Amino acid sequence: MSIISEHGFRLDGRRPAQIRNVNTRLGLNRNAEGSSYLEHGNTKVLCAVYGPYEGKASKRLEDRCAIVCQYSTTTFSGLERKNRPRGDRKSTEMSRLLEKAFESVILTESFPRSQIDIFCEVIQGDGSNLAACVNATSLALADAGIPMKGIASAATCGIVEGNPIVDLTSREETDLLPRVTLATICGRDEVVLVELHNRLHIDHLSVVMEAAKATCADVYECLAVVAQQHLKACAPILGN
Amino acid sequence: MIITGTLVAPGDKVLDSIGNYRMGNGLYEANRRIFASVAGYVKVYGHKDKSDNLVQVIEVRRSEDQLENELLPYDGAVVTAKVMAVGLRYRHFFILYLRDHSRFAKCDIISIGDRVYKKRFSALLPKKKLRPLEPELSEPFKNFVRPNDYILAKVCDDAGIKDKFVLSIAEDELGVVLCRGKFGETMKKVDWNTVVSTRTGKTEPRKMARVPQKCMLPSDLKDSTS
Repeated sequence: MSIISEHGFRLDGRRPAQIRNVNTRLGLNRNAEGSSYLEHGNTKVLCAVYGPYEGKASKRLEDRCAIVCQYSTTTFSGLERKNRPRGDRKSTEMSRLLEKAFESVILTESFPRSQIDIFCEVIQGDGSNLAACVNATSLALADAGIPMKGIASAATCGIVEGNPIVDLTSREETDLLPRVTLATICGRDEVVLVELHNRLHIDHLSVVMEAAKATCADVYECLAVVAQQHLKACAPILGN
Repeated sequence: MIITGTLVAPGDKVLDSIGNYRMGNGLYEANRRIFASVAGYVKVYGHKDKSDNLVQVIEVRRSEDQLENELLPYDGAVVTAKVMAVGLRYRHFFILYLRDHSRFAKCDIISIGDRVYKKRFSALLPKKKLRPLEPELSEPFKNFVRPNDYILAKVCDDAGIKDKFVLSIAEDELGVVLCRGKFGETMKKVDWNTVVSTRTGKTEPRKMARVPQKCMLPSDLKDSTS
């Protein structure tokens, strides 16, 4: 089965450069300083941000704050039922990637000797899980009011016969399709995360990266509006 | 040119260069341009600095209330804290407890204003910050605060201590607000320097806080305007 049909549509009826619907809710978790729920089509992610607080002494850094990330998936999120929601090799790798990305997004120098915890839970995984987690975390950080360089937005892109396709679903991801996850700050040229799966022809690299960058900019537009509108909606409650 | 009251998202450019403004909270500088670091409203206000010059400060605020904008206890904020221990800062000094030689009281900051923190922040209350003019006290903490007291204190800056928040109760409005005796019974205030146990009638010295009676709550403000 081909990924792009002869009429130029993908399996779920999208155009190659079309992203899925983005749905968001902010401030759901009362216990966390900031939290968000984000949907990219059928990919659903819940994210909570705790801190900055005085963390463990072993994690403490003298000049900036430590960022601790945990990526987990529910047992029913994927195609097969999983018994281990977190701690396996794949999700530990995801956690590290998120940690590294957000260390360069958050202005860590403003909170020396403290710690920020980020928890991402994939409720339903339908492709582009890492990208969805980056987007959800950005929103949760904006909700918490943690100073950062900008809202980070991410997108996963693949390439089929030289044509880039963006925001992959799990049906598209399971193929031998090369795919790149890219995260940028504010949709500009500042890249905070790149991740490549499967092998990609070097000639296709620039094409994929361009498509991914353009998609990041599109996603950023959505996220920036959400962050602003949430603040506006909360303003009467906060008393101004 | 950006105007006051504009809603910005993190990473939005606020100014092309800082110009005559002073940078406040919620902003950062990159490539000499000024960007917002939090989502909020741009605000410009006049501020008098130390040499009495009026400077225009530009900042991004999430809400008018300063407490909402600060994630950590900030300089000059009045906080509620619990005294956890009175002891030496460095444990490895072996001291015979003949007298109270303590230089610090360890405290945990519980809340700032009327906002309760989700996690406590540890802080230090140095001997010097117990009262405004300090002649050398022989047994300082005994007469002011004791472990398990709840105190109102002000966060202040100390050149010597950089790794923790430093508290001060060297003001009439600051000091102990709640304390319990040996058996967990409440201690009643006799005067500003003494408390008496409701169970044993024993008096103990404490530095009590003169909590201002007029308390402005957001609901009060609304009533007065309408």
